[in-house]
Amino acid sequence: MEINVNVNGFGNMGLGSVNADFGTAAKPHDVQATKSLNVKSTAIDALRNSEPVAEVPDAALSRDDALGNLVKAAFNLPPPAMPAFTE
Amino acid sequence: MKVEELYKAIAPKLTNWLVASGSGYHEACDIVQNTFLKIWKMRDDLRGDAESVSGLAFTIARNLRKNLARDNSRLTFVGEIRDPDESDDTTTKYSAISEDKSVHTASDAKYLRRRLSEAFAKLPPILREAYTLFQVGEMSIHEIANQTGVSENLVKVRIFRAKEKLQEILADLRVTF
Repeated sequence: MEINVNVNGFGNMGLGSVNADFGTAAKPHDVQATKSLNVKSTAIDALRNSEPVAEVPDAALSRDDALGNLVKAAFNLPPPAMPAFTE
Repeated sequence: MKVEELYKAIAPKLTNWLVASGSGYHEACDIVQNTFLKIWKMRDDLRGDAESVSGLAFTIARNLRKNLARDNSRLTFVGEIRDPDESDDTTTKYSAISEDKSVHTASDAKYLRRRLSEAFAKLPPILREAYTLFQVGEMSIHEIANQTGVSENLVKVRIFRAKEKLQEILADLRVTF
């Protein structure tokens, strides 16, 4: 049975993933090992998908930067006519 | 504040937000009008300032759109403007934002809308919602936090990430972000 373990970094999060290839002849202890790896993988996925909240400087949230100006230019549609407000 | 005044203040940004977040223009117009008919019926119970009514309008509009989508399954975020008045001319080239950063022609705006809609469609929904409410809906961070039920800090992070991703996706527009 051949086992290959690769640990890859996930950018600046410094997390690792473990991929194991147990070949084709799975045995009971192999299944156990796979389950263990799955649990680790799930935990890693949860960390990867979490939303760390950091301070964002207000300057980075300007509506008047180049991207904001593009959006303003693109989404400048006329509103519909005001409905007749009657009983 | 009269409903007519509220309409003038809120309807433009609500229309734009609906289109930016996936509705066709005519569908957006229907939703805006129905939203304000509901607000008008509630006019005697309206409390608070224009900002809180704005939040209410966005909530009603969002629910109306959800109902529409559920009823006829026609709302799908396909990353394009489904406006029958617009031609299918995809050959229009974006003529680069001119030196004064203004957009000169309607075709430029059309092309930009298409490109931005496609870019918005590539964002994760939570980033798309935060960014479009902020930039197109002109809502404050505080209002978006109330709308989406998350902290103001998280709203800021989502907007910041959306901007980063959009700048990446739209890099070919040759605009210095």
